[in-house]
Amino acid sequence: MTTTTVQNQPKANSSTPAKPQKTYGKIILTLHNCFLPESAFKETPSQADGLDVDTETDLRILGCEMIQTAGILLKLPQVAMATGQIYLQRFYYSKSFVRYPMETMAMGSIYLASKVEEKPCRIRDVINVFHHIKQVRAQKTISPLIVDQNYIELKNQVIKAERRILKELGFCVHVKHPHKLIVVYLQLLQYEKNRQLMQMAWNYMNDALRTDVFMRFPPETIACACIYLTARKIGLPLPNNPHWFLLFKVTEEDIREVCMRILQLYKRAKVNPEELEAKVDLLRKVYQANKHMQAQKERENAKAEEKKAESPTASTSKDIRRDTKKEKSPKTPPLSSKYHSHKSKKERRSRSPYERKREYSSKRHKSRSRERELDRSRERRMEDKRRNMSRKYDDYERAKSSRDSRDEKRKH
Amino acid sequence: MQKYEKLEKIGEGTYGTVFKAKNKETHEIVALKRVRLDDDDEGVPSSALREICLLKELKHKNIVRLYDVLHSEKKLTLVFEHCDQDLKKYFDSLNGEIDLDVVKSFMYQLLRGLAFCHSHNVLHRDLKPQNLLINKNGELKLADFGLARAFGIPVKCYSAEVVTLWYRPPDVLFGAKLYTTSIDMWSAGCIFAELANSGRPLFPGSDVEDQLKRIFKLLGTPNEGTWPGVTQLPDYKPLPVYQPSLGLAQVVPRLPARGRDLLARLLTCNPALRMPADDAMAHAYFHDLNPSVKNDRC
Repeated sequence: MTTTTVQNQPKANSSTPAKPQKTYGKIILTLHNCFLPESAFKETPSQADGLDVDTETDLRILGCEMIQTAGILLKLPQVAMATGQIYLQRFYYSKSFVRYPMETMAMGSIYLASKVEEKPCRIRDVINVFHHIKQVRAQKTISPLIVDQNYIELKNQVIKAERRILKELGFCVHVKHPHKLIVVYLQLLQYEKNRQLMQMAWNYMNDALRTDVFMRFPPETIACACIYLTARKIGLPLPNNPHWFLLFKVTEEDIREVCMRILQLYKRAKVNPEELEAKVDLLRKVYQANKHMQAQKERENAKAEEKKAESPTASTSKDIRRDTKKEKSPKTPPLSSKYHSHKSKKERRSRSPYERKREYSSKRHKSRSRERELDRSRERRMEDKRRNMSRKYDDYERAKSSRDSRDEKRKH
Repeated sequence: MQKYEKLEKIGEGTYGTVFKAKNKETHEIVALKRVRLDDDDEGVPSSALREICLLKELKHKNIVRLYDVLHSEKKLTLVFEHCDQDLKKYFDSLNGEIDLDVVKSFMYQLLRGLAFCHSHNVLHRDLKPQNLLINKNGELKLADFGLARAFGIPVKCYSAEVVTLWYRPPDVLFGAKLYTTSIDMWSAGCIFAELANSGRPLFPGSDVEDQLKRIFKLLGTPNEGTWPGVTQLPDYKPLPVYQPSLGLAQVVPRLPARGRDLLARLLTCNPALRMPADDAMAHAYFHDLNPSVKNDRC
């Protein structure tokens, strides 16, 4: 789905004139939230947790690279990989790498993207493929993943990751990609026969997914920038009187900005995954220690307040408890609000502590498995239904030959 | 969740239970659709995902509104606008024949909702009376977008197992994978006939072959002449050649000539010739539509 003429609020309201303004939405349901303000890039949640800019950038690049490789092995269409990479990038503008491990979120991203792009794969396959990638990277001998408690735990983590992404992105999961635009533009410029131009522009666009340009510019601008960059590289003069990109209502200034950001990518040293992991681990320990201390304090505070409020009706004690938490947690405001208009900021902010509280409370009762067992059979039936619509991918090893298929996809 | 007071169970949706509920603050009645998220499962069901992603973009009078999504560890709750009944129940509650003005009004609203979806590059893919909601003001709303999808970028083949059999177009029955908005228009045609017959389904087939036979008995078996490319479809199989009986007058006796003309244009086997929603809205059949229905633009 694209960012086409989505109904904006006032128009939609006029359709139900009898009803007053609704006060429902906790999750903002619009599509016009794909771009972030400059401030979002300057102070990211990860940086607030003490991660330096370079490490964060490297983590983003590594995460996107893993999604791309995993997608190839899983035989997903390129559009799914592109979508997955954008989810990952967006997610980490509202949450921190220190608190949410990159690999799990990368798995969640590609898994969700595969569903959204109607080429659903199984979580097991995603996990296997990531396991494989890591072994290859570490130049270990390739051995299959053992299905044990760790595996089950990881699978649950991926499911949770998927839900976190959905929540942080406010269910805005349809991404408009410049892939098709590049083709359309080159057709309009009558260069569609120039394979080199087309392929190289597309490569630039796929690399651009590892930068932040998708959070900064519309796909039209990115498409133009990729063509611009390629034309320069291969020394092909494009119409300049007037400039060709004006046809697509894109300014040279923006194009140059995108090009710069893409080119910077190639100047970076190769990412060292172990080093990155070590850095994040260190910060994670600090964070967890702090969190532990804070939680203890909170518990004490809550107890104290509960004692104070002993006398009123029994039902209110619960509310008070919730309130105290509400006051505590906004220390780290949900940066997800960045995806939304300024008007909605307040709403979002007030939402998150509530949600966070949910997370806490659910951690407390972990043993709900029996209840789940009961529902599982029903769920399974539904799953079967879903499977009918999906294709099965059994062996990811087989997928090694998928490079060709991807290249073919690029041609189209 | 505390914001809503559950009143009663309405039914089972594609992927969860639907409850009628009251917003405790505004006292407004809503429908809650609960999606269970089991940890051992494959995450958020894609049908729920589709429904949320698409419905949040489609704000229209004739499309059920998704007000909110409540998210918790164990379940996802979709908060919908509440409607009193679906078209199926409406049929059941009819005593005798349906008013022909109501047929016209419902059909127009159905087409208007569809035209809106299609103009936003969304295919519904599962139109049937159970998925059309009716409120007490006689407004019709499309619901259950669990099978819907966005089309456009990229144009690719979609899943074949869509649309309940009775409302499935012949091209999809033959295994066509590159369907477009025309898939919904066929279903709309079937529903139109069902409306005119006060709730009697037009093609209640028992399996794919029976379904195709029922269709072709009425409309004639298509061939390369009437529908170029039909024999190339993946699941094409030669069927007995029925002559077009064109007996729409017998099938929908109560429908006036203009209505029958519109029906014939929607029930066209060749998807390329099937009438799109916006054209159908401009059809002569609607010229004498109650202006209060027509002018109620959104």
